[in-house]
Amino acid sequence: MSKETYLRFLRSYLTGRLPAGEVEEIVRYYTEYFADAGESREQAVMAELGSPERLAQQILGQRRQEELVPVPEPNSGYWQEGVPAAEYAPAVRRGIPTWAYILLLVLAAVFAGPVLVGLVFGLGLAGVLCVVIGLGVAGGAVGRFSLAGFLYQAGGGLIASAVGLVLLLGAILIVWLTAKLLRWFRNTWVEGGAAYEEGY
Amino acid sequence: MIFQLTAPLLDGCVLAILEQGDAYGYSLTQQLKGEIDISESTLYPVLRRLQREGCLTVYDRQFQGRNRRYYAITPTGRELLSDCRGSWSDYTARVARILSGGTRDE
Repeated sequence: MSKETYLRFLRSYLTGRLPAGEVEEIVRYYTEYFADAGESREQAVMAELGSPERLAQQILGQRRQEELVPVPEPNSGYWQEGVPAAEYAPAVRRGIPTWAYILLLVLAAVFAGPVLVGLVFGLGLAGVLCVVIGLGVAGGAVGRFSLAGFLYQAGGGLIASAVGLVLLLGAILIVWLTAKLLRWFRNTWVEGGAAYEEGY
Repeated sequence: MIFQLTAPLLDGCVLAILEQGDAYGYSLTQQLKGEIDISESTLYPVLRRLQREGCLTVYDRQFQGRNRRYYAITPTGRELLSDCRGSWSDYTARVARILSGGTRDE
């Protein structure tokens, strides 16, 4: 990941959860931080900061703690009095509520589920069969005596297995796209700072 | 390192470094990291909080065609630092006494 991508992700995870001015400040701090670290340390800094999502969660977590009134410790004299209370927007993303999201998921599973499962399963099965049969046919060509016959059977078999592979890839692609779409939807439209898995 | 730095101590360390001279985020982090085991991500919230509490101020200075933000200690920050130093020496003295086995009343 380049530092530009890193910073872009950081900004997107913070946007809407903190006041805009503060998001700018944070992004600015880390932009400068990368610049001062220099290009050679870019990857090392990223590795140490953790994923942009984790960094954002950490910053947001810190902010939530800050918004709690500091507990005065007797005789320590450490905490100053009159630390101003929070005047911030709630540090939680707004969006459709979680229950609506779950309802949507259930509806999607009921209606689109069978189609999706049929498609993936059908494509996958057809793909596997094509590959297996194609390879079998191509293998059978070894026993042929005439060159033309050999080429004909081996070529046909290999083409069939190639088609099978494409079908199989199509099935995998559908699964991958669905997962991607679901994650995007949740991260973009669903409220709250739920702890979701890393990766983007 | 087996001992964890608590938030007030980390505040004290940051202020002590700034007492030696103004610094920017990266150099401050590196100076701390030279001595203690902290992560690169720890410092931003600390700086922000100290700034909000009036213990440090920031200013920008041109560096290689871009702005670099410097942090400087304020009188309030110096006060907090001296409090922190006092509490720390008191605390370490107590712990040292216990560790050396010298607390028993004779």
